Amino acid sequence: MNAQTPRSIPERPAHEPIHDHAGDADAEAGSAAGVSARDNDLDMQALARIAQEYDAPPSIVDQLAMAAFETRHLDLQFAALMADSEAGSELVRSVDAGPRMVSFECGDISVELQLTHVGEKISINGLVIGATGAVVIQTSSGSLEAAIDEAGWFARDGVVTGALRLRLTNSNGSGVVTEWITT
Amino acid sequence: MLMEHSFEQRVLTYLPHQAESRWSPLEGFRPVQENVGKSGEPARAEVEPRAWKSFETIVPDNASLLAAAGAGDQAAWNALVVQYNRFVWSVARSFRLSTADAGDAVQMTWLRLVENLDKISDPERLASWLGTTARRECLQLLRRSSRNRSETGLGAETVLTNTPDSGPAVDVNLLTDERDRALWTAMGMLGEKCQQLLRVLMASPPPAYAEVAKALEMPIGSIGPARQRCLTQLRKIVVKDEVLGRETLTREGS
Repeated sequence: MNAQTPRSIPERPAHEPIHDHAGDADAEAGSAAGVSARDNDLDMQALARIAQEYDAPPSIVDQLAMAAFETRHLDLQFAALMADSEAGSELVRSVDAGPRMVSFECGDISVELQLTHVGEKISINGLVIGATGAVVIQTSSGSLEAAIDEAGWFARDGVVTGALRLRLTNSNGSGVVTEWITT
Repeated sequence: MLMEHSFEQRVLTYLPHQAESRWSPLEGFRPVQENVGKSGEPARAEVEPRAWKSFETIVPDNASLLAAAGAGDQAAWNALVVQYNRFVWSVARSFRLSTADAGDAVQMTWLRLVENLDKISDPERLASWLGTTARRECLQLLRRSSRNRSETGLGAETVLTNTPDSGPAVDVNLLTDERDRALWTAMGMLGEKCQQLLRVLMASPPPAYAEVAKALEMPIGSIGPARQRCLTQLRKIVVKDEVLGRETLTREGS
């Protein structure tokens, strides 16, 4: 790896130890209540230790995070998410809002998806413009294929929930991959 | 599917002490003279008067790791995971996601970093970027859980199906130390906002306030005061419970 001169020293150490923050204005409020900033720091350290011992990420989570790197495809064009009927609102939506509609675009390719939850799986109905052949549906449990018909439609049932993206081939033969979505 | 790798060895070549403490750019800095004296390479000091090379050799910074990962280096990627995964996990847990949902949110966060490896404009703020991304994924997962609960009454099938779902809280009975148990029990009695803030702050290594602020969409200036307030409340609950506990013991003893 090339040693590079960092552009600038961060304004303050990015990872200050927690006790450096003690002595804020509210520490006085704490001491008024008989609790010192030092007490707070000790409790925070204890909580961090407990979390580390009893609520660290399971090793499978670490492994999947490392394995995520293998999903990188430099040779594929990237189709960005253009619209998602479930995005935007941070509120938990009412449940009977109907199927989720998602669309992606990349150059001449556009993909419209309708995602319907059926039990614990999802059913996908899609309309593709500008791609031919089959759609590869990638999930965290593997890949599924669905043929695109002459009108550009494809459908696939029984897709596991979680991370999902599509791979397509455009009319001049080059590959396209969509942004990941969570289903 | 992707599990045949044994990463640890390669990660360790990058981050020999990473499991214990987060590096700081300033800790890694060595004055020129010290570097020259130790290495006996004055020529390098002349070329690099600020002697940043010495810190580069201790632990690569985010910019180097992102650049190396961008060039296809799995070990550099793993080093980023080792550095930040517990922070991302803490964000997911702070949203009270189950083990399975938290796992999905964390995985999705890293998949998004893979997509955006070449687009991280400020590598020093990578943790903030991860915090923001994890937050969005958590909110999406909360929407999904809400929908699944009402449609099926069952949790969603995920890649983590086989992981026992311990729910959002750590089982307090697992804690063997009495003081730990008291603290953790008191934590569960705090308001939701305090529980969320403290859970993110519990990440190891401790996250910077800027990173916490992004993950929780709070003003950065409010993190320190809120932390003090929440911890003071926590301490009061612990002390009150201790007093009550003692009174109970006294009554039982007499």
